Amino acid sequence: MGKATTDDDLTIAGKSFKSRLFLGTGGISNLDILESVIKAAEPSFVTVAMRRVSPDQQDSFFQIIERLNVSILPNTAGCFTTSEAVLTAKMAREALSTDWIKLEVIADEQSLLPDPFELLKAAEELVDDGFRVLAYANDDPVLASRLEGVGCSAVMPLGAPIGTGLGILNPYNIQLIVANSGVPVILDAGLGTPSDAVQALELGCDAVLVATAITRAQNPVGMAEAFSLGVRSGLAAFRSGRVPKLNSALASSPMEGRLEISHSPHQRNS
Amino acid sequence: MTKDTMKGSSLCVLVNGRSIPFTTGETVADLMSRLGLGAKGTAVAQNAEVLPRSLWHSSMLRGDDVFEVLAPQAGG
Repeated sequence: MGKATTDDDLTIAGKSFKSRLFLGTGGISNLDILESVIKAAEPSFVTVAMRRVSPDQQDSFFQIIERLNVSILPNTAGCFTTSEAVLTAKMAREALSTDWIKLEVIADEQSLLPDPFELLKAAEELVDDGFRVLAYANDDPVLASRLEGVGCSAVMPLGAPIGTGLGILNPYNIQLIVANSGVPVILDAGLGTPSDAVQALELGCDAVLVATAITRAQNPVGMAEAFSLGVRSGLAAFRSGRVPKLNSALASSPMEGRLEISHSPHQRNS
Repeated sequence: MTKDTMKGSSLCVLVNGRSIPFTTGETVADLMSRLGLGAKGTAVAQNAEVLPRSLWHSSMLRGDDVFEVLAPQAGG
């Protein structure tokens, strides 16, 4: 498992957090339910994008999240190049007075998959500029290792492409990333339902980030609560040592002491 | 005489992709105030460099400056 998951708290870059759930705000249908969703999810972080502002919209979203007193993690969602991501991160730092950034650099608008080359360059540049970089990446153990190598504070491999709800497509790669990582591993993107989050924690991930599966659920508040329960379940299961998978049956009940049916010569006729 | 010093010439900057005229001597702070931008949580980049809020009042607008004004929104 990544760092510190034997502790109750999640520790990233020297800071501790209670919840293994990060909440993405992408896809929220209206700001009226945002507060209820955040309260139900009880996330360690709420992630936000940075977008051009117009006079009529600039107050409402920031005012809401500021009032809720949650930890805000800005991201570079929608960036396609190193320079776009680096400038967006620097503007986020200026706007929100935080040097934490969830780094996303995507290759194209269709797949929304990370561009590993631009991502690695951006990560290195931002780490050198003093940022705490949490890097959203492909489920590629080599890329994860490189991102940690340039100083990322956490790696965030995808379970499946953004918004697909397909869950964890390659659990073997996720396990490899976890086994080789010295920084927290936060599964991010593609989760569809709380059992996906349970699986992530059972595989050894330290946390999950969920946006679409909550914000676009039929009942976002209910789903937020379900995910909050799911990460707690997954972590408890991981710590409890599951039974191994076997190729043949293993009786769970002892064979000794079972009854035997035998017929006595004096048995009465029915 | 440069474009910037010609009195009465039409000077423009780009703000979030829109061309905005300005007058000589106007600062970034003036511009943000005039456009109704610059609330808490807003960041400004001038020609692809972050311009800290503390420098808005002392930064003069120059013709063809490109500004990006970003704030947190739901996303990601």
